[in-house]
Amino acid sequence: MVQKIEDDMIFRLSHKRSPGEVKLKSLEWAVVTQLDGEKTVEIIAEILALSEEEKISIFSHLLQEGLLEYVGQRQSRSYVDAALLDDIEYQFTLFMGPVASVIMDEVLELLGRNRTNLEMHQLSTLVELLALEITNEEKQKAFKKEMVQKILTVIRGAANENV
Amino acid sequence: MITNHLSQLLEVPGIEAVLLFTYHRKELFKWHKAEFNDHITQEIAETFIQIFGIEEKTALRTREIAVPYEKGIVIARPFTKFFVIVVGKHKLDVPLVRMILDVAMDDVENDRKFQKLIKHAPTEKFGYINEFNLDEKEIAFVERVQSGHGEMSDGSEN
Repeated sequence: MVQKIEDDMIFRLSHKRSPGEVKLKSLEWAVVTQLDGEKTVEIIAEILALSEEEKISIFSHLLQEGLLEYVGQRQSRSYVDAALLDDIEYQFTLFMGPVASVIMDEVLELLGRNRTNLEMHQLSTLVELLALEITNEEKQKAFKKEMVQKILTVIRGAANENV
Repeated sequence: MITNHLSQLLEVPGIEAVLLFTYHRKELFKWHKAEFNDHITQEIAETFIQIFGIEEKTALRTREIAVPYEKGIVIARPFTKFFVIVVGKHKLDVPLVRMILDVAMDDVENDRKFQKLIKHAPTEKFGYINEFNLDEKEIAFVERVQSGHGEMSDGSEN
């Protein structure tokens, strides 16, 4: 039984009760139309630009009215491997020189992370921000090319693990 | 030919469609999941022809347009003679798609066969706006832009 609405929860529309049986506000209807058993609470709130307060109150109300069926939670957070970050830093150093390490720490800080807790979904953002620091267009492209291959290797590895 | 350059893009989880069109609606490349059909892809392409066509008459020079929609996100980038559209789910890794586009579209543009394919494609965009698909307000706006009296507005009433 769901006690508290959390960002990584996933719901779908309950078969037990129809939204037509309940008096809903327009924003609540908007949330209902987004329920597909795949999107998390966080994603739906982002799509509809809901405030934190609106998000909690709407989902709580829909839950209370028996319109939501709990599907599950998004898979636990996975962090970027330290060895991969070291590799990225090494490649970045080839383009930026010794200052690369400092810039990398600054970008991680900008993302609210450090070398031990960068989430997988933030990896591309980190690389994109690092690439912006390389002012030479050709070198920037070469760095991106190298990094895209690395990220896709990680994605392929994750996909194989899930098979 | 184009598939080789875009193969990395097609590997990104959440990619639903990748389309390349010229500004006079000629399809150069199309890859999409089953839920897309020719009608939908043409409609998406036409929408961006309208946008880039109008933009040509303004001082704006957009490098990329990213528009969220109920099922995900659409990213479009204009080039001199063609444009690329990427449609993805909400979970799409947008920074990764951007980086791949940065690298891959250069390769596409420099591909000799591709250069041959778009050799006679027009660089002009505004002339290919399809007025049949516009409502009265939009037609009036296009006419204003055409006559040089167009104004970019934020949509609010003055």
